[in-house]
Amino acid sequence: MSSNGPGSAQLTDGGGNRQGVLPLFVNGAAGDYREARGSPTIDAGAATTINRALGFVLRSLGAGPDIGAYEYAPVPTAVSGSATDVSDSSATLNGPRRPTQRAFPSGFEYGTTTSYGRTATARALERSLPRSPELAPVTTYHYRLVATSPGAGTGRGQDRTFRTKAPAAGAHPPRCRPSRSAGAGASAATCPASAASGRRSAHDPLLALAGREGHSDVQAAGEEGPPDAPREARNARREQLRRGHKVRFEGRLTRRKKLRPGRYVLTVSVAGSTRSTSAGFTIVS
Amino acid sequence: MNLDPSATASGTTLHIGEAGTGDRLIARGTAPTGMSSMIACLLDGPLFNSLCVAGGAGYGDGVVLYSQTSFGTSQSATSPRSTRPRGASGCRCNREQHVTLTARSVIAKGPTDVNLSANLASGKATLNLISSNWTTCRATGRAARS
Repeated sequence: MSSNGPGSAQLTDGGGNRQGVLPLFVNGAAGDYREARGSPTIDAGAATTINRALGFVLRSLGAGPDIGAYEYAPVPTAVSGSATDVSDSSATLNGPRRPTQRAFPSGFEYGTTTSYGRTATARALERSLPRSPELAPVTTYHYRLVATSPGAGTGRGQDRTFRTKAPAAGAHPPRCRPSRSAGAGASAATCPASAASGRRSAHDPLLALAGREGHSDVQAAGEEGPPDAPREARNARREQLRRGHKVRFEGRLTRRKKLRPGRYVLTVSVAGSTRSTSAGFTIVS
Repeated sequence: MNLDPSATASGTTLHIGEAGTGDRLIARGTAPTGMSSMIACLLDGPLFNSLCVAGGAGYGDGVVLYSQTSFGTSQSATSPRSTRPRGASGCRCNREQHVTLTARSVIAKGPTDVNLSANLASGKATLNLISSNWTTCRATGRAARS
């Protein structure tokens, strides 16, 4: 220590110091100064009344608080919780009911096999995930919680499964499988039966197709029956609609203008009613 | 809170006032040329659980206590750093009157990890390190260590 200035400069050793040992960081060269495994600063800090370190990680995750702004979190213990709110197309995956101080859930891996293949993310310390989208009905899915500590590693929970339900009878979303030859997007695209009839009644159920191409009306055929079905049968179906019965439609879009690749939403609504149901589909190529 | 100003020449990124307290802050300052000087965090009040990094080709300090009046404050569980070869200290206690900085659970890292200086004959700069980590220390003044 030099002593060449006019005033007095004094360094006092208050005890417990770790002078001369180099701390280890996750990636100091890139500005990531979180402690890495084996750093001499881990559990070597002074007691503090502030229980959160930088990043809102709890202090004293080990034998004591760490030196420095961050608190080293060892490989977390990941415990896969149960799956709840399972429907035919979604489920809620839960982390541990009581997250321990060492658990940092970062997401779930899930898929139809124990290879998983798909992930759903969550914020640290969040107990549960949003509902997992786009699940197939009547399918068994495997899932496990994945928890990551940036300075230590990743812990994976045990494999668990859930099985999606069958779609409720009569409550199907409209099934639309546009092929490359299918199309809409023009001012009107009609299902074959209606197209064949060339007419559209104000009492007919309408399919409204909204997407990147704009808005189009599509007449629906299906269980209501084609226009050339016996008048009595069609009237009976319409009566069911008026009474609020669920009716299944299976429409098909005819090509008028090729749909561009992208995400579309198909909405089925009943004329004269505020009820509607929607389903998304994607044109890949 | 992450403080990383886009205008980085000379100056201070973060100043903790006498009535203020800093907690869980990240302050970065870049001194782009050899003549520029940057302080990531200037203390007049206590600072906790924070990362203060000064970089660039110029002079930089992670945390500085630099007061015109007699003053004492503390930092706890912070990581002041100066990353450039021409940079100054990671933790500097500097000045004319009687200034005291208590550093608890601090990782100080820089070309010189800890730098103390008292610029006037009447001045006294004291740095009290507790449960902290540093390697190199430089003092300018009638230095003593107890």
